[in-house]
Amino acid sequence: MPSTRIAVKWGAKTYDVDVDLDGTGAALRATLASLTGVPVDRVKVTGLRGGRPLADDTDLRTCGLEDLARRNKRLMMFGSTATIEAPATAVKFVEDLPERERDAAAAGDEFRPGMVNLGNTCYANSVLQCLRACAGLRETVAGWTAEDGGRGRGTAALTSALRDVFGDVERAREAVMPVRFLNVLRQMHPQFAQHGPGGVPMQQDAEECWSAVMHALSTETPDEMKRLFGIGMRRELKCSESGETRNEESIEYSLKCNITIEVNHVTEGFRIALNDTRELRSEALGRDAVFEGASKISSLPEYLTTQLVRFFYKADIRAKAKILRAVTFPITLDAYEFCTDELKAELDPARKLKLKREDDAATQRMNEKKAALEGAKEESSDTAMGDAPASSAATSDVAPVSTAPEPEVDPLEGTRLTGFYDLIAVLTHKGRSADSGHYVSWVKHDNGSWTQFDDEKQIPTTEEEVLKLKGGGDHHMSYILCYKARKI
Amino acid sequence: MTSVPKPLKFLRPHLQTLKDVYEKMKDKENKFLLADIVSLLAMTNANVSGEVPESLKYRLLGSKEDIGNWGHEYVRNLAAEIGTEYHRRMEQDGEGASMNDLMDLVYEIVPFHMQHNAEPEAVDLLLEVERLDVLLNHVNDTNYARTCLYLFSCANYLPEPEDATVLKMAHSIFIKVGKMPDAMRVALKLCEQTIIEETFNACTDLGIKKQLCYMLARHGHPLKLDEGPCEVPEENLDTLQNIMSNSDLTKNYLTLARDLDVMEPKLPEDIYKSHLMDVRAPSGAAVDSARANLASTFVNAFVNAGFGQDKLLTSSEPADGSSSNVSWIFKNKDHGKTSAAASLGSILLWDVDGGLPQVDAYLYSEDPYIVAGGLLAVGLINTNVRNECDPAYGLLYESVTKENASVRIGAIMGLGLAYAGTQKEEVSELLTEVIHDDTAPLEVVAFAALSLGLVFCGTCHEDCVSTIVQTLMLRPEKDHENTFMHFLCLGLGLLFLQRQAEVEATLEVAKTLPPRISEYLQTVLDVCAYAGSGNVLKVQSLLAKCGEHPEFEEDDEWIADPQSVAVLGVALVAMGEELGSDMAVRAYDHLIQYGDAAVKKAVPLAFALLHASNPKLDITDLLGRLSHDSNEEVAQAACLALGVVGAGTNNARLASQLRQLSSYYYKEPSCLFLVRVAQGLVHMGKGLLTLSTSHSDKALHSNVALAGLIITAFAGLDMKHTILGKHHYMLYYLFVAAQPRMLMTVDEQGDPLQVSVRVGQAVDVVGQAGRPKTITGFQTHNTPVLLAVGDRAELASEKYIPLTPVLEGVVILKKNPGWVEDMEK
Repeated sequence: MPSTRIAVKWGAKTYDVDVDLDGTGAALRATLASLTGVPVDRVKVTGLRGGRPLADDTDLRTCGLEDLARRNKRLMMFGSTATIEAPATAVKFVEDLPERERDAAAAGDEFRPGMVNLGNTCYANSVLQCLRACAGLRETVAGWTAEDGGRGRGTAALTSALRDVFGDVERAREAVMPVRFLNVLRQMHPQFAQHGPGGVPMQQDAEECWSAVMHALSTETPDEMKRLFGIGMRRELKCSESGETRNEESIEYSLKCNITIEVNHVTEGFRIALNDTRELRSEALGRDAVFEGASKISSLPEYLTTQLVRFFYKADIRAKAKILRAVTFPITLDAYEFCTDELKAELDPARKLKLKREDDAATQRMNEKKAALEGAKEESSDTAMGDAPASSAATSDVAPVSTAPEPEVDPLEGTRLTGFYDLIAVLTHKGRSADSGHYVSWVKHDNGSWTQFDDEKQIPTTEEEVLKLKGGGDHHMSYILCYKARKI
Repeated sequence: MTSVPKPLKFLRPHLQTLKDVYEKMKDKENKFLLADIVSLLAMTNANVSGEVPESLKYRLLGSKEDIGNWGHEYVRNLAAEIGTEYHRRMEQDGEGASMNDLMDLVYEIVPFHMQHNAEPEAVDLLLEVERLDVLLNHVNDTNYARTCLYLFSCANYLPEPEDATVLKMAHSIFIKVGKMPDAMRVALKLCEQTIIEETFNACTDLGIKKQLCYMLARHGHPLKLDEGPCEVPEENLDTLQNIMSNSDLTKNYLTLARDLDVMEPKLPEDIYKSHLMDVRAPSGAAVDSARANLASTFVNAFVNAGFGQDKLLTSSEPADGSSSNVSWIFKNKDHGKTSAAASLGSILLWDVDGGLPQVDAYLYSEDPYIVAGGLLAVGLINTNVRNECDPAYGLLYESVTKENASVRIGAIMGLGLAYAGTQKEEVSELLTEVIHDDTAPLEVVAFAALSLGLVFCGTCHEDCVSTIVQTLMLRPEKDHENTFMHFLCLGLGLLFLQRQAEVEATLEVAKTLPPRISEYLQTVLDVCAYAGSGNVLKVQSLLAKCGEHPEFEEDDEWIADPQSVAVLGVALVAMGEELGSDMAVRAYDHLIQYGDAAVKKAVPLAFALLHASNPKLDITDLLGRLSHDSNEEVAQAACLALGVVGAGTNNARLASQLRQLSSYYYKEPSCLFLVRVAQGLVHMGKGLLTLSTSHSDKALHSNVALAGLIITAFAGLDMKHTILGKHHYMLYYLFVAAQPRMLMTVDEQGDPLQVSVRVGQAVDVVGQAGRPKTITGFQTHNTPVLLAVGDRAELASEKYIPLTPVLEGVVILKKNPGWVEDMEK
């Protein structure tokens, strides 16, 4: 029985196998299978003469095994005992979902649905998205119930439609269609139902839509709306001719920012808007006379809405023309300077507290830094422990009063207005006139990120991008800014 | 007239008088001497066309005394005039013109030049008079290097067949002075099997023979050592074969990686660096995206290529919280699993012994997609590496004839990758059967053709050619609409890669095919055959084709397909040398502006071919612009091209450019996928790999690597049906071209040897006088060291002598016998 001894390499191991040259491939494979524990049908051997792998009917004499053995060559064996197991549940892929649900699936928890444009209705979509950004309003609307369920017409219907839209958005995994809201809006205000040539609904002024909604809401929930959006105004009118003065109190739902050639920043626009001059009948003179007015804010709301008056009716072209001027707006707006003295006095303690807290925080940071530095410097010295109470005593000497009431929980905490407002939503317009172009809204989320809502699209964006909406070109430019009060 | 003796200068205005005197002069001896003087003075006269140049004329009439006596300038002028006169006589009298008097002069001038450091002039003169053979007698140890360098770089600018003559002369010179590695470089450039074999056999020193093996292995042109013309004695067989088969590639590569401390596996997220982007794609996706996961698969495969470990597939503790290491594969969908399983092959690239057992388990899966991927992985592991046990063939050959088309494609593509450039006959037998089988789906047949093209690239293998041609004729009409018909054509084209005129016969056959494939095939054959030739006429005709604006109906878009190929062709033909490729880039500027859609979409891919792993600023800028193109196909091609252009460079600028692109395209899954792939490519092998086809000082182009790139570029022409469709694994063809971009020095036993080398920008020193510096702006490193495109290395000390003049890849160092250790201190 001619046989030869040859090395067979399997993975990292090498086996010396005695091969009976009279046998067939099957025999060799069986031998290897028993040596390695690999199932016979998986045993593959390569390195034989001719390049073919070992088959069951291979005649081992033709494989040149002796020659290989003489040259100290090895055969290579393959075969593994491992199996590749598929996971018990098949992985579900975004690509398997219907197309309209993919966005939601890809975004996970951060999904924020857009709204479908139902024929030039971007004005309404952007208004809705901005309103939705006001958490207080969402709660108010959700808690509101109408006597008739809001089925009828009028303000109640609009409010219930708004509630439904907000509800839809909350649940949606795809873009929402605000159909009912639009229908009710168009019933109430037929100008929104106008159709242009070709039967397409006409583009509308978003500000008008905003006012319409505000009007409806303030009719239905006057108290809440006053708290949320109402800006108390005190206007003092003074007639320079007669010396008469008049005082007017009113509630407004947005702060106008007039744009003139001098205005570069919204606060400058506010100043112009608040100091208006008008003709009124003067009792003293018995005729119309010029009254110089100066308005001040007497009460501040939760959400401060400001409108940049970009559109004015131009008689010669019979259209609303747009002022493209760049007007920068701040991320944090301070309304203090526009307030009445009484309101200022009310705000002062809160503002002081805010300043103090900021100072404290800064000092603490500095101290921590110092401590870290010193700690690093003299890590080994134990004197640092002894110093600690002394230094705290020193600080209490400086401000003994302020630290005293700190420990107990302040009942007013988080409710005091400071006059500072943070930007939470921007409604922008792109185009050359109010009734054309495109409205888009930019909304800040609780986690500080921004999203641009362009109808059904949602595009992640940044604060820098939002600040670029100041206007002055053909980019989107701010039209309505929504600020939220910073309370402490 | 600077070198003319002063008194003679004053004779200059009297030249005509002197000539007249000469005519009348009787005295023989003085007449000769006068002729000499006239010859010298006539140097300043403009020659009249159609007449014998005067200086030459009087030289021939003169005393014939030592030519050098009158100075260099005179000799140079004479040489130029000989050239003019030679052509004049050829024109006048044809082949039979008598040149004896001229040749006598040539024989006098050439030695003069050769002795006086004017080798380029000598070569030029001999080229003019078509007697290059004379050169061989005049070279010696001192002037061979400059002579050959000049010859070598001339060859790029000469038409066929003169370039071959020049190279052969350089080859003979190197053989004569016993510089075998140089001779081998020329032989590889000539790309003729017999010359390569001769060179190999002419080498007797074992050390140098090893070096030759390293060169042949790098070039992807292994010789058979156990039998045939290059048989080597048995005692050396193992060592040499080991080198020739690239068995140590993985070991060397890992040594390099350890030295540079880049062994740590990287996750796709490490490459995407999404935290650096302004606009973050929302994180915490609820549902896996198959596209995104597939992209991650490729990124993972490219980045961790060859390292043997990664964090998605081979890691024992899964990075993304999944329970078992297999599950990443199942996070890919259907055909995606093929690419995922195959990516294991790229991670274990070149590691035949350690890698194949790991892949083996996948071959028994119940899922045909995974089996296909496993087979592909087997092929990838064996890419550019040969093993005496031939495991790839053994593992793959059964599956070629399986039922399932995916499995078959996996096996066929695997064979192509594993045996690229080896000309293994068994593979041709196996695959020609597949191609002949008219019941096989066209995709399978096309992949078989591509594999044949790879295995036999540039060989004109007769059986393969006839098989593919027949199949092209016999496939039913409806197949002609299928994209994969194009790959069938490409497979045929690759067989003729760089074979120039040898393609003619097949080209004639191509003309008889149905119109839909006839023109396409002709263009493919043309561009493949002339690839790397730098043939200006070809470039012109291809550009003319690109400039056409064919009119066609919506359904007949195929009419423009040959144009796309022609665009790639310009790059392929021009890539042979630098000037040509620069000119091609300029020509593409026009095509971008005025070309049709079919032309435009091919331009980015052409850039990718021209500048693989060479991210020059102007190219990346241009591609960056194209990647925002409104035409989707152009943009997609540009995204992919950016990856290929930056492949394996870790180029930071390109990386940030791609990051921006990824946020730009975050809503468009197709483009995003390609941007991701490109990001993976840029960090290919963590920056240790290159896809460049050129090596050895950019002088040689590896056919196999080129074939790999071409296939990818062709796949890029129809992304919808290939890379963005079900055949994304075609991207793995790039691995055929992947090589570590390293310089590794070893001693004569093959063990790594650390020496310090200077690495700097290569300087072109062709034809420069003296011994100019060959690199500039260099830094000193210890080997192993990375070389970028355009970098050149030289040893920092003379302690060792390299066995090859070009320090690239693996270089064997020999101790310098004349080195004295103290000199270092």
